[in-house]
Amino acid sequence: MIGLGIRLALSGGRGAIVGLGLTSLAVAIGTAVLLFALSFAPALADRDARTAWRDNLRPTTDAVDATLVLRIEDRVDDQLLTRIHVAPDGDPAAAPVPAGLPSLPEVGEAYVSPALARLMGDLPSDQLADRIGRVAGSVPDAYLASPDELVAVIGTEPEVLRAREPYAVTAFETDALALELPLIGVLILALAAIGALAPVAVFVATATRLSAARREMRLAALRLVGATPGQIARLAVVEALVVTSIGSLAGIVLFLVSRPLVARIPLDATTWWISSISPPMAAAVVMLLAVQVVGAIAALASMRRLVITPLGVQRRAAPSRPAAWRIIPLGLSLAALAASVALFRDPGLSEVERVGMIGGAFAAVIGAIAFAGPWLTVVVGSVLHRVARGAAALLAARRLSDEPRGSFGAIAGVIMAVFVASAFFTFTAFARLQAGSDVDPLLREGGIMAYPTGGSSLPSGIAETVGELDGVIMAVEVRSVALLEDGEFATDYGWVASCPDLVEVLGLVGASCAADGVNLLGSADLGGTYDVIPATAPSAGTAPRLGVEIRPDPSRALLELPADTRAYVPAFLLDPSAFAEPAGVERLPADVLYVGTDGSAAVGERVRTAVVAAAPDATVRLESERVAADSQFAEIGRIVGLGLIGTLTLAGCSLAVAVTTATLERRRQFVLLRSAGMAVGTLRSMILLQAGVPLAAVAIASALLGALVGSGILFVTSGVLVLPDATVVIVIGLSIAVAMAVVAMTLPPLERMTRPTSLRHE
Amino acid sequence: MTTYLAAAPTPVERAAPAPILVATDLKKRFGRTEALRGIDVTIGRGEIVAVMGPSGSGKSTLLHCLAGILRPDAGTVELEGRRIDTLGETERSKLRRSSFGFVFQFGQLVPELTALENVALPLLLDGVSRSDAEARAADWFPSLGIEGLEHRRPGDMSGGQSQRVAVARALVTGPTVVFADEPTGSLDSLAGEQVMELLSAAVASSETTVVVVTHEARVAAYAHREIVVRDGRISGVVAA
Repeated sequence: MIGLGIRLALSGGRGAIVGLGLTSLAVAIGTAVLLFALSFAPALADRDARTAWRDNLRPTTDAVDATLVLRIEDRVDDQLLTRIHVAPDGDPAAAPVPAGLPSLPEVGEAYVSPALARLMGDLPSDQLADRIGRVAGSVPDAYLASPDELVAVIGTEPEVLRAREPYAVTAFETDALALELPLIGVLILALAAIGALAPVAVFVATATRLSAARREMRLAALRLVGATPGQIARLAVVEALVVTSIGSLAGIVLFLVSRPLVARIPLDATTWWISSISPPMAAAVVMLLAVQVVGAIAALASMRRLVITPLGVQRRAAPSRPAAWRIIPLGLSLAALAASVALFRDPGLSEVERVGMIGGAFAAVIGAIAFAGPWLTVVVGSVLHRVARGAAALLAARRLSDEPRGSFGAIAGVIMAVFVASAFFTFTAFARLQAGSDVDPLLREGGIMAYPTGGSSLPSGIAETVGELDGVIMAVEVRSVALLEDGEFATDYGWVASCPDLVEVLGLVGASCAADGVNLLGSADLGGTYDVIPATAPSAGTAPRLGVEIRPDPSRALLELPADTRAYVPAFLLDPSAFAEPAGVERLPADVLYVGTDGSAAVGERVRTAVVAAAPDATVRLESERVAADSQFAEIGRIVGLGLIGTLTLAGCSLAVAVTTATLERRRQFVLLRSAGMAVGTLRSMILLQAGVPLAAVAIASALLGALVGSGILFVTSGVLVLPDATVVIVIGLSIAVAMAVVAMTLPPLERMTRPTSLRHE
Repeated sequence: MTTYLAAAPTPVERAAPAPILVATDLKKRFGRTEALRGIDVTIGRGEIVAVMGPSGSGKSTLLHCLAGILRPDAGTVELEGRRIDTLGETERSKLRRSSFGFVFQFGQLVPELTALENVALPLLLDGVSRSDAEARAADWFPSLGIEGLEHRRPGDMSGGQSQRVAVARALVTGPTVVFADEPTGSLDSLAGEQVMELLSAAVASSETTVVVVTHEARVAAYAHREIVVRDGRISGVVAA
């Protein structure tokens, strides 16, 4: 029986092979998606394990024979560069060494990742290598988050590190911290997995239908020669297992083949090691077995719906016309979603419960759309029937009303994709809102700013050093200060910097500096004799100070600034000329350096290198990185985009298969219609109308629902009301256009298939 | 295996054969339509019986009830004295496999299987090994004039060839009764006659009973007896 089942599944001629191929492809895509889903957590865990030696730093209070570690996130060439400055604290021979390195690098030496070594070779030393030092060796792959990661372990003077609050570690960990994805991240991933699998399920169902009529005929023929219902069920299971086995194997191959491509998709600005994307063996085996079991159960379930008699196939019961109550589960699932969203912040629920609840409700909404779809199709058919003028519209309307399940089945994939797309474009709109920038909005094009980390100050003379670099137009040191009057803080904090230079470097068009050097940037009531101390000073008593006398002037005007930058400036700006001894301001520590450049990438790297060489812990931000700071949004957008391409491709395949199946099933009817004089063009119009009208109507409804669901989830979880951006309109328009193009592609063979001369072969 | 192609219809005077298939007061309804309204019929061993009548008269329904494909709403069907109308689906399937053979108008061959595999199919379903089943099936090909077509699929054969394969499949298990529903309906007259010659000659030597539904006099000419069905009742029995 098994052999017969395999032969029946595999030797059905071209049509059956196409059906088998498509169904196997659907199973393969589903299997691959599931394998990637299973691989996600292990990939993150592997990444964390690889970087545990630098991420999981535990400070020790026993400062004996420790290693001082200072980790700085720098940038180069629009990429993240992680610099890990290390120095022995105590006996150098006893200082622990980071995992994978033979020894601590000497001062001025560094161990670098292979990608960084390559980049150092590509860029002039004043743009990168001078930040790193002489390369002493490589950081092994096993200790890097990704093959593209830029990491340097740099030997540094202990004194330099001690001044910057380093970690003193007695051992470098190799165990990762417990994996902690933010809840919203887990939720988005869970919803994405559900959203991705829905079109796969539709594709499997549609592809199965392609060969269903032929299969049912075959099973009837078997019953005629005496096959028992049990034997028929066993045959159906064997056939299903052939498909799921081939599909699963193809899915494994698809997973392995597409793994290098998926590894290129960055998450958290980091790509993946290909080997990291590996599902746990036990889970993968269970999943692959589950695919077989589900396939077998689906085959048996389809047998339950049919009674295969020797005289052909009879449906167990004539399907009734879908009624309006089919909309009820949609309402209930939306209510469940609203409830689960409302409970999202309930502290009494565990994270798993919350995510499971909201993910389950989201899946229920998708299922409810599929359930309500046939009724909506009936409604669309009724409306079309009322407005129909020609034969094509009339036939299409009747077909929609009489066979709404089949008609909706054809477009279900696209509808699912549109729902998922509109929900996710709401998420991406949210992500864009949230993608704040740590780049000072005051920076103009080509501008750079540098600031110290951890309350230290920039080295004196840094403006002069940077100002001499090739491509730099001007560098201005800014000192944040507070004013004390009789030992008490008199105003909000302000800046001390050369006003004309600052106006120029920030490109403040129209701003004119006050003649007495005292400029108002915000509301400040200045007038009197003040002590000027650094704004970051731990206490007023110990800070270096400088005296200044400011003449009260009620007519003092605000310095002209672009309106959107007003929130980012302090209350006042004192030019050195406001002080009795202008040169004395250099006693105050500089905490911001604004640099104007010609805007080239090279000068940006040069400035970074010069600043970092002088102050390893300084942060340097380029105006051009404003876009890069949106990388999280770009990442989510890219993942959603890829997901959409995948789901829409699947949906398009489902639609093509469904339209082809429907045409094949109705071939005789079409031939008779043509024999009776119907033009083939009218037939084509009918097929297009039948697919297009419900597609457009239900897609718009589905998109609105998706946006509503996405906005609802975000409103409750984040308190922000977000609507999807215009992209969703483009996506829906494109989806419908692509879907109709797919339908149109199936039309050319219609003329040949429905020639009246083929009637005698029927 | 004898070659039957040269055989011709030779109706002869026969003694009344022993009854093998007996139907009593058969009634069958499809919705509001009464297909059979109380039919009594007795068919003897080795007899060839033609069931004739206009379209919609109930002749195919009668054949389906006699063959255990349909279960009558009322009345009984006995095969060699054993009630078959009360059997469950699985038992009736086994009965069809072991005791009956079928030749229908079209659509009876499994398109995915070759001619040889189609003929071997009832044996395979009965648990016979593939090699044995195919060997037994292959014996029928020369005698039915379809030698050389063993590895063709139904789609690659003519209507006449397909029907001969169907005859071979109907006979491969050595059935007690062969049921044929319009076996020549989709064939031209020459091919139709060839099929009927083969069928009648093949069963002659083995005492196999044949019940053939037809509305063609040419086909009925091969029968020992004609039963005429009209409006779900037997309106006449004509000895050939």
